Amino acid sequence: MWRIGLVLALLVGGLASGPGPAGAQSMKLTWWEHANPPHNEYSKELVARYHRAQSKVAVSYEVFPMTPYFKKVTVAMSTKTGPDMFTVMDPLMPTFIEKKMMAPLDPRSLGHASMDDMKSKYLPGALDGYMAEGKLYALPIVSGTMSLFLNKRHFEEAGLDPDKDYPQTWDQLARIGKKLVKFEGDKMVREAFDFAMHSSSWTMSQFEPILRQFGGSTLDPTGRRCTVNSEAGVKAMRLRASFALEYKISDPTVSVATHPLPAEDLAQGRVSMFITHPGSVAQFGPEKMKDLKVVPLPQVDPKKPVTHFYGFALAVNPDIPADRQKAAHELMRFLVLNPKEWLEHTAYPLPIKGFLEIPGVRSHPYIDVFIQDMSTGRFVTRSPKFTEIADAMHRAMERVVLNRVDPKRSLDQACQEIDLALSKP
Amino acid sequence: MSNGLPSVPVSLPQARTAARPFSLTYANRLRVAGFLFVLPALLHFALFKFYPMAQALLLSFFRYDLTSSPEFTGLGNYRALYENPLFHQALGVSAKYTLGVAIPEWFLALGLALLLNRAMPGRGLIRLAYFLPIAMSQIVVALVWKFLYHPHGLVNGLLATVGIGRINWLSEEATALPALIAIGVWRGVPLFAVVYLAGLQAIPRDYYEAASMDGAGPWQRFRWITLPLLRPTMLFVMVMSLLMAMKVFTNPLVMTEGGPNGSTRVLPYFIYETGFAFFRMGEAAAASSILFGLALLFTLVQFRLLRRGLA
Repeated sequence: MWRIGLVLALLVGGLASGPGPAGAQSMKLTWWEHANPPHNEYSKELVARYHRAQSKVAVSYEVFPMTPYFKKVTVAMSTKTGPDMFTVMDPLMPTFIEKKMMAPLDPRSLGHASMDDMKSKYLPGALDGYMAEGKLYALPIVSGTMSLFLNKRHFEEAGLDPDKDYPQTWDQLARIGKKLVKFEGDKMVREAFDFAMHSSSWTMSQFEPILRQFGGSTLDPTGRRCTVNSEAGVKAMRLRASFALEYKISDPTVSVATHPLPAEDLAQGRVSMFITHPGSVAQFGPEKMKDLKVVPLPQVDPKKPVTHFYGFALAVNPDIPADRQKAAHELMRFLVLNPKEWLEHTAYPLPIKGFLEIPGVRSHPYIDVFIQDMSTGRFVTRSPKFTEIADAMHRAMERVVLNRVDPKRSLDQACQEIDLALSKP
Repeated sequence: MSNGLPSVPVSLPQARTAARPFSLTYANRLRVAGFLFVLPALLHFALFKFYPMAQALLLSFFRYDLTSSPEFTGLGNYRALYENPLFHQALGVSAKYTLGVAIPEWFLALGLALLLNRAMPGRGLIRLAYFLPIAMSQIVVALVWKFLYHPHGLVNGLLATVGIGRINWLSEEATALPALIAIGVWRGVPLFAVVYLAGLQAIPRDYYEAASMDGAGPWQRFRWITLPLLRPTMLFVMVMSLLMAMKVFTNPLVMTEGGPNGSTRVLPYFIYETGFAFFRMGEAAAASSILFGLALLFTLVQFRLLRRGLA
């Protein structure tokens, strides 16, 4: 009997001592994010501040490498082992909404009088990518675009003025690239220009703007049929491959095997021009940025610019109890309090009205270029089958760029794969 | 008792017998004890292996996207796989990878074991060095090899010293799968060499001495003593190496993500993508069942062939 008493005493004592690692906090929330070092550092800082600001909720912040992150989130959410809150990239919204992997957000819990009130505080259309049937499913924390970064030193070495001679069209990029590329014998030791080859989402971000500049689209307006094998698609793919195959200013076999952060090749001086996002400004840091310049994304026709727009947003796990969902809303509200700080730490702007009027924002490096590219930007193809579409497009690009398969043939195959995926429930 | 003899306490054993519901012979008690010893392992297998396998097989007849209720489709998932060119590609890639890894492992591991079985200076250190790849984490191995295989990496650097030009190991369809196969062999050979080594050391030395006295040379001793007595070990190595190669997943995931152009998308990677990235769990379960069927078939054929040899 005394043994039972001892066990009970230990249990009661254990319970009375409260949660261990969380200290005095009565609730523990888990927040997952993709790896982006400056962004992650700032998120960690915000979590620390949140802990100081209140004592009820302990936040466990976890980071995962970018490429497998979204698969990990998908698996975790679908197997009901997901975090309380997670960061999601906009192309996955239709899939996640369709599969009920995100809870609808309550604008009032985020500090707004209503959905309309919240919308009025954001740039027109900025929330649309995160909404379905009038409900908001994710709160944007950063918005991005894809602009051209170039190495000023390489330009000057080649007798080019980076402020005047930067490429505005793809043709100009090829011509300038010829002056920037470096060979030792037949070995390319410095690429003039590079597309990312390492992930299907980057393929979509870099290929779709070119496709749209030629007037094409990946899917038809209904979203049920692949149209990327159109004349515009073939032109876009031919252009995409020409820098490696025709102009020989790019070496995709290096890019495909390169660092998980593909822009690193630019930062290390192995590439002279690279298309990347505003976050790279923070990733490179002020020292490396001294050698770099950001210019708008090259166009087929600069008079009709088409660029890429994307964003990362915070979402809440729909399977957690209401009190945890409420706590996640409060955390979100806290995280987006200071858009200027987000810009300073991550180099990503927040798509809210009056952002550029916030004191100090306009002095951020190349913010005008990013805002210009965002203003002509479009979200990538929206479909619950985005992952399969992106994978098929990535393979199509690999066939053309690495195996020299005819663009039309490769895109026909991609369309077969995409149509097959779209035909499935 | 009436005869004056002291009474025999017959009631006690009777009472004992009545208290035991059944009695076991010694042999049966041994059997029960044996069963109880293996019961935890049996429960583990039943709960964590056989039950999920049965569930996966059942799921392969349903359409299931992980979020809504499963819907019976009969053989629909198998038909979908049959019509999916990516499944056929993955099947082919898996077959090439499995044979490409397993067959060299059989011979190289045996050769290494024969080498390590001989008395030589520093044998312990050499054994340790060969065993290290197995002790390393699979993820670490994949990341290290990814850097080694980079076009400007160490492997090409070494090849350049002997005049061999740059090979784009992971960037080209022709070389990506062989590059992964080489890692599979590098990692598997030491493991199976240890298994072979144990088999070699279990062969009594007397047999070799007797054969030597009868004038048998090294080849004859290997052919007529080592090989026949190593057959059970060989069966184990063959089965395990094939099964392990069929299940490869981490290296394609970390190093190539199945690319370029699906040239390294092995069946387990296809199953993972289909189930968890594309939300077609039923189709993934059908592909898993096919993979299981193939593994079972391979194993049965090997058992049959080698058992015939043993007989």
